[in-house]
Formats: sequence, C-alpha cells, structure tokens
Amino acid sequence: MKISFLASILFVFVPIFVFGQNYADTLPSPYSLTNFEITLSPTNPSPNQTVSARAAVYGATLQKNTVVWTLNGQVIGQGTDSTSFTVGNLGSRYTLGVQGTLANGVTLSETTVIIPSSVDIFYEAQTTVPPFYKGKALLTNQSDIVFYAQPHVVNSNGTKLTNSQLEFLWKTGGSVAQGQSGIGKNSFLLETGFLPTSSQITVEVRPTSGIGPTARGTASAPFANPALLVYENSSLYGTLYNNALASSFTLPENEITLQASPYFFSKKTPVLISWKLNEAQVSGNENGNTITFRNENNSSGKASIYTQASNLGNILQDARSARINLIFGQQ
Amino acid sequence: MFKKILILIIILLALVAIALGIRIYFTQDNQPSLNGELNEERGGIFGFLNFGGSNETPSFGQGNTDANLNTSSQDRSVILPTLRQITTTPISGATFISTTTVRYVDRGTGHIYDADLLSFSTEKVSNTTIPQVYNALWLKNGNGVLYQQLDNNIIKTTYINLIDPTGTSTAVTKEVVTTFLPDNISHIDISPDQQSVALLSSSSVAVGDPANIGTADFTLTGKEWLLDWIDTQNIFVTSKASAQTPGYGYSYSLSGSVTKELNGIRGLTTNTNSSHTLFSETAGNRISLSSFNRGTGETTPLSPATFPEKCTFVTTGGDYAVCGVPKNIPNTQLPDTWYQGVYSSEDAIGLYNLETTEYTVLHTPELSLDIITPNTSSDNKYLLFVNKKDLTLWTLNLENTF
Repeated sequence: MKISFLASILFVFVPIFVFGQNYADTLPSPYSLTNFEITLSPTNPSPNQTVSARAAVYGATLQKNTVVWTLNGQVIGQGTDSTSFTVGNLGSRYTLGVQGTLANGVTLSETTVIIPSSVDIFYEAQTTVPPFYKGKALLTNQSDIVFYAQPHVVNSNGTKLTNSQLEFLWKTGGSVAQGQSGIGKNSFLLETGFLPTSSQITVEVRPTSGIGPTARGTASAPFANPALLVYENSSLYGTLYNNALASSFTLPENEITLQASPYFFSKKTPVLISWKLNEAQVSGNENGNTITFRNENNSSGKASIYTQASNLGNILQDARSARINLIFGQQ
Repeated sequence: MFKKILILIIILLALVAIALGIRIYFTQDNQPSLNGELNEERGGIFGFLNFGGSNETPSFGQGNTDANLNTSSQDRSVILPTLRQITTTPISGATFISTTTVRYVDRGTGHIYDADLLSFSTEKVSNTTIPQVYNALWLKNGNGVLYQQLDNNIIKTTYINLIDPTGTSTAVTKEVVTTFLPDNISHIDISPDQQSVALLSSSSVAVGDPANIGTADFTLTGKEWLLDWIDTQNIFVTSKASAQTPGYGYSYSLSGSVTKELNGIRGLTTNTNSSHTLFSETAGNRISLSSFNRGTGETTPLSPATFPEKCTFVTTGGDYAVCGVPKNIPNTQLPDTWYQGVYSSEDAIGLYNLETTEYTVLHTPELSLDIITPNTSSDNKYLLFVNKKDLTLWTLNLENTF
C-alpha cells in the first residue's frame, strides 16, 4: 500500500517537476521579461553601408535620457532610442550595445553582433553577339538567362567563405527554385517564354555552418529587342566590326561581301538570315549570313540592300537591318 | 634675237633648277623612305608628310593643324602638337619599342613593321604571312606578340616570338617562333612590365608567359568580363557593359584575394592603373566620366565625358590621362552602339589632370578620329593610337605637354 502510494506521488509530481525545470530554463528572468530588442535596418548590412538601429522595450517604460549606445565599446549615441553608423569593409565585425534604465529603476542592456556581408548578382543572357564584342549580350523574349551570385560573406573570424561553404537559395516569382538551390549553387538558369515574364530573382546566401550572416540580393534583367547589323566582310582584313553599315555605302572596288550579324537572338536555335536586293530575295552563302555583290558589267548606279533575321524556334525574335544604299560604278 | 631667247630660256631653266635644288635641300630630312616591299604589302606608310602646307598631302592624314594647346599654362613653351598618320591601311595593334620607334602589325597580312617617328621611315620586321589578324597585343618590348584571328567564329590565338635571324642568314627580317594557344580566348591583357599575359577563356583566367602558360590561375563568376592589369600582381576585372545593365569592377590579386571597387554602375566601362580607375557611367542615354582614387576610395567627376578606353595614363609629374574626347555625344544607347560600330565619335585629344580635375585640350583635329588603344612613349613625347573608323595608326607629338 505504501509502495503504491509512493508510486502514485511520483507518477503525478515528477513529470510536473521535470516540465517545471525545462520551463524555468527557457523562461526569462523577471527582469529579462522586459529586455531590449534591437532592430537593424537593413537587417543584413552590406560592407560600407549605413545602418540604422532602434531599441525597444515591451511591457515597461524606458527612460530615453538614460539610453547609451556603444559600437565596439565606443559610445556613439546617448539619450535616444535610435542610432546610425556606417560599417566598414568585408571582414569587419561590430558589437553594437545599448543600455538604458526603466522607470522602475531597473537597468537593461543588450548587444548584437554585425558582420557586413553582401551578394552581387550578375546576369548573362544566352543570346548572340559577334566575336570580340566588348558589350554585354542582352536578354530578349524567348531567350535564356543565367544569373550568377558572387557572395561576400565572412565567418566570425573574418575569413571569407567560399561557394562550397555557402548555401544559395534562389527564388523566382516568390517561390524557391529547389532544383537550382543548394550548397555551392551560385548560378541560376531562367528560361523566358512566349508570354511576357518577369526576370526578377532573389538569392539568399548563408553559411552552411548555420553560423554567420545571411546576404540577400535581388536582380532583374531588362528585355531588349533583337537587332541585325551589317558589316563589310573584307577578303583582306576580315569582318570590319568597327563600322556598321548604314544609309549609303560606296562599293570600294568591283565587289563587296557583306556580313549580317544578329545581336541578342537566342543561342538555342539557329537564326535564319535572308537578303533583299531592290526588294527581291537574293541568296547569301551557305549559312546565309554573308553575301557578295559584284558589279560584273562595270555599270554604275545604286542598289538598295537590307537583310532580315528570324528564329523559327522563337517567333518573337526577328529583326531587320537598316536599309543600305550601295553605290557602285562611276557616280 | 634667237640668241637672246635662247639665253632667256637657259636662265629660266637655271632658276628652276636652283629652286628645285633648294626645295630638295630643305625637305630631304622629312622625306619618307618608302621601300617597294612596303607598298606591295599594303603595309604602313606615313600617309601624310608635313611639308608646311605642301600640296603633296595624300588623302589620309593631316599635318600641323590649328592645334589648341593649353593657353592657360603660361610657363609652357608652345610647340603645336603634330598629328601624323602612320598607316593608311588597317592595323591590328601597335606598341612603342623605343621613344621614337613604333612596331605594328598589318591587319591584312600579319606582317610586322617598324616606323621611325623621326625619319618617317618604315621597315619590315617580319614577313610571315598570317592573314586577317583582328587583335595584336605586344609583349617584351615588341619581341613577342599575340595574334587573334577568327575561324568560323572561333577565336584562334597564337603567340609569336620574334627572334633575330640565326647563323649566316642575310635576311633582314626577324624569324618567328609560334605557340598556339587554346581556342576562344575571349579577352587578353598584357602586364605593365610586358612580361606576362592574362587570358580569359570562359570564366578561367590564366596568367603567365604566353609561350608556357597554364590553364587557370583564378576563376571568375560568369564569362562576360574584361581584364585590365593594374600592376604586376593585380588585375582589374570589369563586367561587359551595356547602358541597360549595372556593371561591377573587382580587383583580383594573383595571391587570391578579391576586392570590389565599383558597384552596380550602369553602363560601366573602365581603365585602371595602380592609382586610379577611370570609369564611365550611363544615365539615360548620356555618359559621364569619373576618376576613382584607388588609394583613398574617393570618386571625382571629370568633364568633358569620354569613354575610359579612349584614355591612357601618364604619371610624369602627377597623375594625368590623355584621352580622345568626343566633341559631341549624341543621345544614343552608349556604350552599346559605340561597341557595335553604329555610333562613331569625332574626337579631340585632351588632357585630364586627375589631381585637380583640370581639363586641357591638346589638339582638335579637323578630320574624323574615333580614338582607341591610346598609348604614350616612355618619355611621353608621342601619343600613339588607332582610329576606330578605319583602323589606321596615328601619332600625335606631345612634346612640352608634360
């Protein structure tokens, strides 16, 4: 009977004691119930960025005139519940502290650690440009684009983390692209379709260790129109990309070879090029991108030339060159 | 009567002969020595000879002009800059091999020539024919050169080492030793000491002697980058530019560290040396020029605007940039249309003082120049550049500018 009674007491009270112990561990102390909460803007500061901080106390009245802000131990503000400061380069580390007294005379303090981090996002449209082109390939409808993240994230020791030490979380249209997110996955392929789509993406980069700052970045690529430019393809000098032909052009000798260069067409499918001479269709070379005009009779006059490019796989992609008046013979 | 006429004719002939003799005497120093080989090869000649207004001026080029030297600098002795055309046909790349000698590659043949800026003579250095050289980049004081060609839109790169004729050879031209580099090297830059190259292939950058270079010393994020050596240990990397997109500039050290210097600048194009980065920015369809001080991190606007690729740094007695400066910049999408060859500028040649931001016009040519790849001689007395309009080679005398 005694044993049974003891067991009953244990059964009823021990769990209550254990639960109470856990609860006591997680429960704030009576004072910490009214602790500071520091809010940073931006939440994840980038290197050399100005940061605003605000301290709030819930459930008690803070005497603002008692508030003191410190950054790495140096006082940076007094008598106010907000402050601002500029963080340094990548690898710098800041401990922001705030201390103040409540109306009931209790003094509170709080600190937070800031490690500046950022991520740059580049994009590269998978569209055509000529060799040696120093400009950027631009995105057009029905083309693919690759976004690249270049993170600048350091650990608590100030050591820069490599891509394999970081997890990349790519989002488009508000949802996470699971297949393209993960450790070391610093690029993201976006296919734009027939219908107008947003090219906006967001990436979050965080240490795989779970310790350290998170960097966030957003980018969107504007849509451009495909273009078609014509250059002289000299048998001696090669294609003269330095000078796109437009309006009128004098035949330098007895013949000229022109080259059509499609800009910003999707690389996924071939571009079809056709030539028009005085509005009549004429054939170019095997690929269609070059054509030779020859003044066989040594006659003189003018000819109107233009070229068109289309992409059968991507019906939104077509372009027409400027109309070129080719002047030949003695004028 | 007949005797008098005969004497008169003889006197007239004598006067003509004397006048001709005087003319030859006073102009022989400026005569070009155009050898037959050069003319045959369509190689370089001095297309314009400065005969003080002589009618012997060929259609290309221009001699002394109404140069607009800085009139605010009272202490400078004014010697008008003289603009001269070195070639009448396209070249692939040029360099100074001495303060007064320029070495260049003929684009059509790949032949190499030396042009003497004092005697106006030109001589062939290599007659190894390599057709259609789109780019030529010089190393090792002109004894090494990288050629880039196109083969079905594949970029082919060859390193050519020029060596003196061996043994008892009586040839005057140099022998070439070629090294073929991997396909599709999309961008190349030469180190300031001209001993090393940086080659960008896909996203890999290889650095070293082109005759014996590895595959990758560091990797970039993405492929669309342009390289620019800062000094022997650091390379500046700029994203390819468009008016529609923000650009970035990073400094990569060969020891592995990366520093972001230019962040999210629309239409960003750059030109960097150890102390400054010149960069242009596009706002709307207008471009602006600024100087980023790499030591202090300060950015200073410069006016008038130009593309940094039209500039070369001069560090004699201060920090300067000599630039081609468009007389007018139209309202067009830049730099895209300039790179595409749709827009071509009409440049003056000017000097920016990067410390005071003062701008001085050095020369206002009467003809159309769209200046690219400028470079100065080591004594800063000559500016060498290519006219993008026809890819011909030019020089401007900068004597007494610095």
